Amino acid sequence: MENEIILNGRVACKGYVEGEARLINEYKDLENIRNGDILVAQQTDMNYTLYLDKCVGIITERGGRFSHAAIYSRENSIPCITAVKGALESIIDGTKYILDANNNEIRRMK
Amino acid sequence: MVIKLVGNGTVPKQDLGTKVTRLIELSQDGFLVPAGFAVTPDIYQRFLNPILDKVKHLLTNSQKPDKEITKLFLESELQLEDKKRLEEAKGNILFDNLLAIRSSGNVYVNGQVFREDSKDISLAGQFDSFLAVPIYGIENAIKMCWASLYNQRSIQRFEATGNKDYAKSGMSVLCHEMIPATKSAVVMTKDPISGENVLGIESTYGPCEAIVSGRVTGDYFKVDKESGKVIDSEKGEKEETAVYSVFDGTNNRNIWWNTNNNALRENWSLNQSEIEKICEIAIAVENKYRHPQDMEFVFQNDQLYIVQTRNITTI
Repeated sequence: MENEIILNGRVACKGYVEGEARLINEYKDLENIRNGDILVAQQTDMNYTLYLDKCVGIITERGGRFSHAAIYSRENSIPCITAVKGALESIIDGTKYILDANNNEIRRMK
Repeated sequence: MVIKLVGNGTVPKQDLGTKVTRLIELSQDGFLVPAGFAVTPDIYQRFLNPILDKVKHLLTNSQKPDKEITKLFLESELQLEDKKRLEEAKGNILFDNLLAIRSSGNVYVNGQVFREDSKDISLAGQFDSFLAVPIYGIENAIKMCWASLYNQRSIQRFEATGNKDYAKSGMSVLCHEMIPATKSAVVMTKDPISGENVLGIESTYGPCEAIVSGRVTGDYFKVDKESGKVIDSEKGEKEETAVYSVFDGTNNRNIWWNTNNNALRENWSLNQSEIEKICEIAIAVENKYRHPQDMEFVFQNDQLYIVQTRNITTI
């Protein structure tokens, strides 16, 4: 069964992962992150670091290949796509997604 | 424009931190960098020694060691000779100018020292920096940088409470004039994702924090290093421009975001001539260090400044 292609942006770190999306709209949402999650946020900063350690993938709505999220992802070999317009609106918290940063695709798993 | 070292000159170069040493080296080679000075680790150590026991006590016993240590540092004085050295360094700054005060720390963990841009761990963003600092706020900002060795994330990351070596950790503080940026760019002299030997530039309007923080998606240019010509480009949203209010001596944020109008967003933030200028300088710096560079540039109208350069470690 095909997974629906929904989003893309700027690939910051290549790789392929599957995981539950965890939407971060404010800092306190970071407490919801579990091991194996794909973090979805507008951008990241140093306060995210301890939580990013649990994530298998990173999606940001803003920023490019040289943002905090992009640099962090490459230093830790975590697949990452930035500049994903509408990510926080379209992606459903707690739902499984494929983050295919080899092909610049984010797809919801059916 | 030279970065002067403020200290008694006894600190080995490797302990100064790359932020400091790189800007000194670049300015000596004639590259345009902001004017300023660096408060070297010996000044911090002389400041710390009389209050070291109190710091250790707060680290072990306080509920909020980061806040208590910051308070202690702000209430404590630099050694007299060092105060004089700092006053002399400040004397070279024009009264109206605002400064960036940036930490460049070395941490001691388990008997080992980890330096900024170390291969083993990254200290990027670990300690605090303060922007738009007026001349009368410099000393406090420096003390707050020092205190950030004990900020919450560092206490946690380096398990400072149980780490008997941690108090040996030290810091340089780079103090430089903030260039009023009309545009800025982050540049990598090799593509860190594909490994291609091309220049990657991400640029936007105003200060670099927009790109570095990821708050803004800048214009992206992939540039041929020999010709300086753009091979590929992606127009970014360039949603906002960063503006700063004057540092008020606290950790309260002083960065604000102005929404860019459609005309700014629809135009490219750099023209071909600006791209070629960046390319020329970036390649010269890469050749100097014989290693791909991760650089930050700002334009003040047509003057191009290097604000930071370090080796790309993830290639």
